[in-house]
Amino acid sequence: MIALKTLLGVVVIAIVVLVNTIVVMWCERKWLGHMQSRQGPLRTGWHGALQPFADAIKLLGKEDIVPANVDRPLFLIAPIIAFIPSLLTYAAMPWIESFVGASLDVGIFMVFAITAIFPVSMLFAGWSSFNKYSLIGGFRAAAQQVSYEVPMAVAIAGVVMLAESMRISDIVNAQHGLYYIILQPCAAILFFIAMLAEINRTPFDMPESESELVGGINTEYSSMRFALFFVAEYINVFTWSLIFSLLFLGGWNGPLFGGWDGPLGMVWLLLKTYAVIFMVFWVRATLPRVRIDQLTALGWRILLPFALASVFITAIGVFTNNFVLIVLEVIATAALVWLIARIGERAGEARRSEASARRCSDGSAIIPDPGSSPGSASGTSHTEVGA
Amino acid sequence: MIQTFLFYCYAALAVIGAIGLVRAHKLLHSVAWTLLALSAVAGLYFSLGSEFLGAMQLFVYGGAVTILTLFVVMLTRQGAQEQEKEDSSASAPASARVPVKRLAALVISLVLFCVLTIVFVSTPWETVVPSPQTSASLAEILFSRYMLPFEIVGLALTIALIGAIVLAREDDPGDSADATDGVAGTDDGGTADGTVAADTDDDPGDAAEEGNAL
Repeated sequence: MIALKTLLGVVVIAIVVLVNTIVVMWCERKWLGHMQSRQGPLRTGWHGALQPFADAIKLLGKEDIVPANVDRPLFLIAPIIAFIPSLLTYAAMPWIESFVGASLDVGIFMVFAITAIFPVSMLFAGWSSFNKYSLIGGFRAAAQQVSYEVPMAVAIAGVVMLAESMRISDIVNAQHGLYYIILQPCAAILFFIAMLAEINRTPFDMPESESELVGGINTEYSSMRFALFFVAEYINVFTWSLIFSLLFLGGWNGPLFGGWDGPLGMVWLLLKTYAVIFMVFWVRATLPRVRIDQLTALGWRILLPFALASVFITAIGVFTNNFVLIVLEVIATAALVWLIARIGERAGEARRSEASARRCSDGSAIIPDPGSSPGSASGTSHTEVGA
Repeated sequence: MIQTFLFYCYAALAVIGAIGLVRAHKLLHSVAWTLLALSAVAGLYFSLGSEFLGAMQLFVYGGAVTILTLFVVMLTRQGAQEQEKEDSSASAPASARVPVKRLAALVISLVLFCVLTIVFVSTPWETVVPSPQTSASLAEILFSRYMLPFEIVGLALTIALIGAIVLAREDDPGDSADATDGVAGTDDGGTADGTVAADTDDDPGDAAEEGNAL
């Protein structure tokens, strides 16, 4: 009986996740299209709503090509290793208080631990593809995901300290009335940045950057195996946005019927999740890709110290009161945003001066450098702040 | 009933993974089998009700250690395998030594197995009821009774980390050189004909590391 109930629960949760994944795919195309002044898919179904299904059928019908010289067993199982953990995270993920896979005492840590397996699949895929671009993509994926796990874990630590529990439903219930994004703005921003790196989204999409790596780890994959990577990526987008809204945006709490243990709680949760997903796609439409050394420097030199500072501040806040906590966190957040903006500005200046120097040495520096005027430099800094 | 069934499933997976790890011909396949074995052990912890330990096992061994192993194996792979082939095929005395090696390996593993079995059988295992708040009770013990060992372990790990950084840096002036070196090293490995001397990296530490790995 228990086994049957478990099986049913697994099937229901898997269906909910996959349906949401399809919606996320459609949302990305439509939102990104409108952000870039175009329509996105229109012809299949209502405003292209059936486009993901059409894609899936197309991918299913394609030939599953295994190139010569690949390491066959690893090449074949790598997409599966990518797909399983991304779905397995939902074993510990609550949707509302009463609709949860397993309400584990170590909930958030469990989710975090399962996602740690994902980069292994990237490395397997990159190595087994017998393609140097795939290998570089795999290395980049592993390096960035391993290094961004650290600030992310530390950012989560602050939330756990406030809620005094790692059980996700406890964390959500502790946010009744006051969401942690107000108490922990610095940790929330750090978590969001680390999350983008964790799910390989722009500006951290180096593992599959089309313009330099021809798709990275995806290069040699086709048909369903490519689809598995693709779907896993979108499940991860949804997963991390869901975690963000559970940890920082109050989960199923809301102004109307807040904390009500029913379908409406789930509506609140999904609304918040899709707001976060919108942010993720917005960032993608706004920012260019960073370089790999910039990525690691950002992770270790800025995010990690600020995450540790945030934990320290949270400890002070736990022993004093919320007001002190909010003030200190806001100061830390301002410093973080200023520092990131400053780095962006500096990098832009360095790039411009380098470019103008190169042009001078070429002897073709007839055209004045538009970037050297102070007006456009401040314009750059504005876009960086807006990031 | 289900508990027992799950236990045997996980145990079987762990053993299959361990056998695959030893039997695999390619190092990367061994790592894949290791992942299976370690994840199965995590499953064992879960089925025994120790969620924190299970999650820790997945996080540290399933994620971090596997990735580190993959990095190490990938960066040293080519040289080590070629060297092995040379050892076994080119020189006759080496192949003559193989039975001796096997015998030694057999004896050592048998002795180890016996010692471990004796320890397992002779130890009186205490069984405790798993508390519902595993992480909270763990934290309480860790930060009260075992406070000093905990701090010492933290300090030791920090020292190890700093030491590793100091050793890895050599006299490399470039900051970002580490990441690019790693990729360049594998590219070399892919094209070089196995001789370590062909490694013309300007980083002397790279060659030294490969030498150590052999």
